[in-house]
Amino acid sequence: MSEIILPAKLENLATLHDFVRDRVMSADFSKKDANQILIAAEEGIINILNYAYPESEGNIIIDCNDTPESFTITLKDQGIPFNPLSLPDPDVELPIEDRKIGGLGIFMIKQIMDDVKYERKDDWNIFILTKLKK
Amino acid sequence: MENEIKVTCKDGVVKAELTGRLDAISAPALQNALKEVMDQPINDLVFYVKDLEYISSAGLRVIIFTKQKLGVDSKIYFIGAQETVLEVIKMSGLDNFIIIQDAY
Repeated sequence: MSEIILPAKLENLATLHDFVRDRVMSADFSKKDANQILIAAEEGIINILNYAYPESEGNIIIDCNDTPESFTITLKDQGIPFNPLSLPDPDVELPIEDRKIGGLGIFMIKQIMDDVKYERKDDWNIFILTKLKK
Repeated sequence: MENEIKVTCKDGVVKAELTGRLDAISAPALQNALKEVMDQPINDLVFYVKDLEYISSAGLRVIIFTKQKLGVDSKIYFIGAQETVLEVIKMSGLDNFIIIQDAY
């Protein structure tokens, strides 16, 4: 288990991303799976950086847990309560002109990862993304 | 691989060469580069992506937004896309309107 804690600011995106990348790349996944896991992680991180602390400042905590069976990324913040899984899926059959811009990131997370969970514990949002090793 | 975005426009065809990663960090640069050329009439928007390793929803959002600005008659091409990029395009349903080809 390894963990990073940083202020939830867009300027830290690259550092957070690199932290996850180093761990995903050293886990036992194909390059394609590893890239997809990174995309899912980015979507979750961006949501926190953009929306968790609209009127205050706070931290984001990411931990990565690599086991022989699975790889789990846990994203935590103490921002406003928000369950990303409560968002409706975007209608990907709609013509492009009618597409909504929002909701796509969460939709991609759900497609990429095998298990996606949200918990609200004390004042923490906890978003847990798991990819199984097949 | 270094991220690089190069956008040029000639005779109604926008050529956008993307290298590296199109993610939340680099997507705003693409958005700005496209904005620069969007004041002229555009028929085709051609993304050269053979060296694009990765695209996240931030990148897809720029493409959706641009297509919505350009209107129904414009066409969007992805030339030489790698598998990782193709998977993301399909996952998001954008393969319905992006023309995927090996050459333009």
